[in-house]
Amino acid sequence: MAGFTGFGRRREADPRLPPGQHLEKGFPVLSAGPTPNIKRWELQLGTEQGSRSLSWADFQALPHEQIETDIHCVTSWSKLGTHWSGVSLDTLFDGLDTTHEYAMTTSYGGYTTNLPLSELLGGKAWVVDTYEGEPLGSEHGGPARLFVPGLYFWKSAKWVQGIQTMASDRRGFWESMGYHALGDPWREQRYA
Amino acid sequence: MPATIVAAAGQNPTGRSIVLEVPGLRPARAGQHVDVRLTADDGYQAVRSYSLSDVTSSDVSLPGVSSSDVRAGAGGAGRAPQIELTVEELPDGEVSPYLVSAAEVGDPVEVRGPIGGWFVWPPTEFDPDSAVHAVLPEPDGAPAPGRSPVQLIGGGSGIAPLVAMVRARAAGAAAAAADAAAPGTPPPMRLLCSVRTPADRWFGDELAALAEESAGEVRVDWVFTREAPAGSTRASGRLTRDELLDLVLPASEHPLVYVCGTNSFVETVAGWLVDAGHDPTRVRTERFGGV
Repeated sequence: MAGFTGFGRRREADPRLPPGQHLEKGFPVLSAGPTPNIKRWELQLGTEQGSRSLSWADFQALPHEQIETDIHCVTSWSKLGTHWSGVSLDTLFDGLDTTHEYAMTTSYGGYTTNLPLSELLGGKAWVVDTYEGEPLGSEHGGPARLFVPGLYFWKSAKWVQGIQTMASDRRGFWESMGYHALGDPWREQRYA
Repeated sequence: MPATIVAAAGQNPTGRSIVLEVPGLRPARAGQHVDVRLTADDGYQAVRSYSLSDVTSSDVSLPGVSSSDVRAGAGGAGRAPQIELTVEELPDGEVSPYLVSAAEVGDPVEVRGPIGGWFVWPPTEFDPDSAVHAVLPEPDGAPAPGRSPVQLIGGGSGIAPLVAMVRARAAGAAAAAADAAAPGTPPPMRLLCSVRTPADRWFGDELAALAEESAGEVRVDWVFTREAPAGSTRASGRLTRDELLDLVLPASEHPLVYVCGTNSFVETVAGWLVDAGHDPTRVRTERFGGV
């Protein structure tokens, strides 16, 4: 489509920005409902072969990794060079074997999102509790959220409560409403 | 998909509404948004999401009954789907200054969508086995979401998708009155709007008319944060918790609540509602952020 007078280039392109994304300096909040009131945090992990439940103290005792990465929201903003700390899903699922290829995450407040297990394991995903050196704020999913920076940020479920593997893919909350099942920002997989 | 601006109308000092004709667009639902993509002469592109403020002319299989048909001169056979966006100009914005101050009737833009299935009214009926339904059980004693009374709460330009809902309700009520075979009369709806001054109102006259025509089924309340209208009994100032709870449908009626505005507005209002007993799963939020 040809361009037209009146709209001109206003921002520099950045090779770190996936297609259709623009740079955001703030940290917008997007949530489908109220910020949940979490009285007692617990993380449930499960496969068809077993499950485990982690208290906040259990979670804190696990080795945390420092992550520096870019994040990309499907609403077209990206933040570059953000810093997080959290526990790798490889650590969380260590010893919980599975033949499943998918997982559904659930959150305090009722949110769900589905992911292929291949996007959760192998150093690609964490449950994070720290953002830029501070405890993760409740608006941004604190005390802890899933963090899958390789995919659009709706996959990084705030207020994560559970991660359960499943034999076949099912759609989570936004995925039931027209958003893409995988959500790779570099392939601009915004909508199904 | 390609779209053309077919009408534009200033709403207040910082915002305006733009009607787009989008051939082939699927019918949009009140509360949904579209992604708008602009392309500069040198090929540079920018994309932003904007809420639709009117969807009643997006379904061309329905008879044209909406005010927007009249406004945009549409109607009759062969018309193309039309949607209206309402945009507030952000000082550091990249796309909004163009849409509010520069775009003209006849200009082409590209849109993708409509998008969204949660912050929509009438509410989506999810499959019983879907992940949404499974974790969001209905509160005891509550009517089904589609039959529940509706409370809309908007801050500033956050009113846009809520206006689409009020207009959709009016279109539904008109269809029900005209045709006994149409779905029944839609549930009552209240809209609470917070803006800075009387001049910052969005759709003020039309909302007043829709409330007037509704036989008490639609109520619109305005709260002014910086400057109250002459003769107002309420001094200007931010909405307080007590005022909010006075103005909205009580939790005991299990209203379906939609809150839209800045993050701080939505966070504050949604928190007060939940504290006052509104079921968190019945409070749907949409937050504007980023430029």
